[in-house]
Amino acid sequence: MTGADLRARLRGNLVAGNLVAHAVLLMGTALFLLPIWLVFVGSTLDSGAINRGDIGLLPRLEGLAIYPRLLSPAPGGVPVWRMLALSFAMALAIAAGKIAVSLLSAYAVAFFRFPGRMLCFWLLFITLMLPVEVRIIPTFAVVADFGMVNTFAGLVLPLTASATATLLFRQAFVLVPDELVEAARMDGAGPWRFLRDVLIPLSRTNMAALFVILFVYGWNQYLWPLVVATDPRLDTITVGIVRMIGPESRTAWNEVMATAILAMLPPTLVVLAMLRWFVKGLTESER
Amino acid sequence: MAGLVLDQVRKSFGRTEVLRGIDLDVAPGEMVVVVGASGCGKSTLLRLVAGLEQPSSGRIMLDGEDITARDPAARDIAMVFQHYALYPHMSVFDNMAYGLKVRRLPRAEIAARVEEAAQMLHISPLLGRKPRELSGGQRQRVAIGRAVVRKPRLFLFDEPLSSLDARLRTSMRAEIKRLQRRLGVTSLYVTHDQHEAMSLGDRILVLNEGRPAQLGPPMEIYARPADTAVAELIGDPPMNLLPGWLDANGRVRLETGDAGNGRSVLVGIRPEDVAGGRPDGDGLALGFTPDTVEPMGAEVLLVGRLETGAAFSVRTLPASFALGSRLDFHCPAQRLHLFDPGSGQRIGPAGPAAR
Amino acid sequence: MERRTIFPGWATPALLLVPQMALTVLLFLWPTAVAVRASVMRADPFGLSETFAGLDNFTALFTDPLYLAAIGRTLVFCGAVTGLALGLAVLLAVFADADIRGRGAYRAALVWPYAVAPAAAGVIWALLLHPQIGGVAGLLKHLGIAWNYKLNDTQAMIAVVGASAWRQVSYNFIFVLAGLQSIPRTIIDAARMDGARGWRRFRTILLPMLAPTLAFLVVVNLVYSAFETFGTIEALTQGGPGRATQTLMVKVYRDGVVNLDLGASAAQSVVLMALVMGLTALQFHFLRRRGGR
Repeated sequence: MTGADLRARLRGNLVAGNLVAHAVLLMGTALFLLPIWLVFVGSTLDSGAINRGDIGLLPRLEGLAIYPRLLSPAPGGVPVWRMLALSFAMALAIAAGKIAVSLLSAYAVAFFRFPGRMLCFWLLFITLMLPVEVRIIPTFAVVADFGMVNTFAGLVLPLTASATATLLFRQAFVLVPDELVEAARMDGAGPWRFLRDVLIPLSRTNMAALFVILFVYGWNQYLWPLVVATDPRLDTITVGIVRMIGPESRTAWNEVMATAILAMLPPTLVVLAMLRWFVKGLTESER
Repeated sequence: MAGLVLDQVRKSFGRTEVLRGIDLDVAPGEMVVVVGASGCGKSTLLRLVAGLEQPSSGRIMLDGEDITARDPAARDIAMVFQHYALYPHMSVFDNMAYGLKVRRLPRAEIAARVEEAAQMLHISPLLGRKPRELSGGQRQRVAIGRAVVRKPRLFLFDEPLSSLDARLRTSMRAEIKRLQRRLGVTSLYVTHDQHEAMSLGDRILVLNEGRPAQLGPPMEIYARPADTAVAELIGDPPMNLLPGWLDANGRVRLETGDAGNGRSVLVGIRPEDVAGGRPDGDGLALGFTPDTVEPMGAEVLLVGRLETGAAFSVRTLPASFALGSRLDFHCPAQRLHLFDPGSGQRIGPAGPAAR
Repeated sequence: MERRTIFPGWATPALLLVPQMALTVLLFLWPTAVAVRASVMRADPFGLSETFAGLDNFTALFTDPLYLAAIGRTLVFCGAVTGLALGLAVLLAVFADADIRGRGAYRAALVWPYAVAPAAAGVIWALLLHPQIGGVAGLLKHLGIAWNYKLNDTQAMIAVVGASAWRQVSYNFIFVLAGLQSIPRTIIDAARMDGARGWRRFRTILLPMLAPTLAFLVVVNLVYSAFETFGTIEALTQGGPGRATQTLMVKVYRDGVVNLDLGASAAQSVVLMALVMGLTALQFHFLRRRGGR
């Protein structure tokens, strides 16, 4: 076979391969986008049409008015706006709290030697193992002892205690060259200055990636908010939307669907906006 | 006593003793180069002076003050690191200014000092750049600039040229020397490169396994190495060390075996001290069979064996050499170095004066 | 790896560790201790006194046919979710790794579902599969399938497995794609020169090199399907019809939170903790292998 033949055959394979690849990837894309799209279309129809099972593939444009209506704090209606705000505040507090707490503890473990250092490290390691779901009942009992049931702190604090972020930071800190620390010490920087002037600026990308992961983690919590907050005013959007589809008598399906869309929007936007950092941070944090 | 004084400085990590009692006086404005093979403790010595490590015992004095227990920040010492250690997220200006900002110098004073140092180091146009936008040589200039702006009482250099390529190393070497003379700051410079040590040091301290092997001006160390370790370290290519003996008449023989009423010694011959032909007078005759020629430019290096079977090398002017056949060389008696085979210590002769 | 240069003193690091340690001890160690203690105690019906019960609670648990049935159900559920989510992710990642036009857009389109909450995924599919109003349910009826997952056990299981796997594909996709991209280009080129193409190349070259990543993902997916799918199941079936989709996690919630049977749920919690510990140990085993590659 001549070189030209070979090249032609390779190109032929490549084109055929590309068609298959496009087909598979388009199907995958549809698998994820189509369900969301159908729900979005449903949200713009009126309840009667939905109840008859009359759902097409195109949204009813005037039906879009449901979104501003749901988002305006109207008395009597479902407090979607408040649930969104609470979810946002909770996700933000969890992400910021975890980053702050882990940054400090990782700094202590990586840049100091002190008695009990390995003990602390292993303690953190064990924390990593048990997701909040597994220890939900005992955690509730303890939080109840602290009188934090039905409080924002009770919602956030137990989700802030985890070691994933600490380990990620520690890993990043280990890679900081010794000479850089030495240069800073020769320049007269103490531990706090080094943290503020060198380490935090150097950890910006890690923090951004971690923020996305933790924001999504916080926003998507369901079981803990369900258990710890019995007061409907402390319903997060995730708890609220599941509650909305609960009773079968409910007929305002378009509202339910619109709320479902709204519940997914913020974390999705955060992920898409910081896609590259997030993917890098995620795959590296598990290493 | 002004300058830097080390008084019986020792350092152990766990059970390993890395430095076994170092005494050193560096006069004000002097540049002392610490040289040694890797693992000899030279970097540890530098880090002790910097305050990044604490000595196990001994004292470190700077300009008459005991700084042994002081934090690095309080020692008024600046350091240039092997891998530059620039802050990657700061501009060149901020890198150089950081130590001054931490010390709360007035803004105008900081700017003036950085500008001055940048001019001295020819990096003024780079002040706005980030370290990643600089070449290796430029980064090293910034690292030096960061030390210079501090106007410290002591400069420490930790193999600052080892990550540069050979050509750049030579030119930076000259520049560091010029700069150090001009600023007149007492300096301690650590390297494993003997050329760097020879060309930069007012004096050289050779370290061997944590002990000071020899301290003195470069040419004296070259001419009168205190022991075999120094002899092998300083000089390129390294000195030939051959077993032999010193007979009752004070003549050197290269034979092994029974020394009779003489004394058994190690005979050191630098490859460049060997000349062609048979010796006149009391020189040492060397029957040498070269098996390879390494051209070095102006000279060639012949590598082969002596009649005694010992490996030997000769540095000489280029000519056509018959490889594999015996040639006559000799070394003048005053160029021979004699060492004790047991301790490795120099036993004479006094050796030639510095050439 | 230890660093050479550190800062001196122990007061600063102690201060730095206070927040993390306080959270860990108060909200982690203590609850765990409470659960372990409660699992070996028996409370009287009014909660006024407790007596030591040894392993009675555990014996009761493992002789309870309902609990044993839940274990079996959980195994089926986790296996199905893991297999489905991983299989789809590998398929999509292999094609997304190819050098084709629009690669970036495809990747974004396949990554974003990571952001969808398990509970939200449950809601989406509850709406689509709803026997009366669901678009997908309507389609199935058109095809002659009598779809009502709220009454049919098997359909209910299919619904929760599908929705749970749907949500997890993108997470796996991210990791498999990263794993594929870390395979050295030269190895692929060598395989091409050897004439290995398509399925053969995938099976003999890519799959073995992906094995550590896949092993790690299997554990992650098992943990995910066992615990984090609670919201999905709750939105879709609440564990029903009957107990057809009641996994161990759902059962803990029913017994502990809804029925307030704290003794039984404490023993169940301890069993789950032991399970996760085991899975995590397995995961570290794989991580070390992956890291050593």
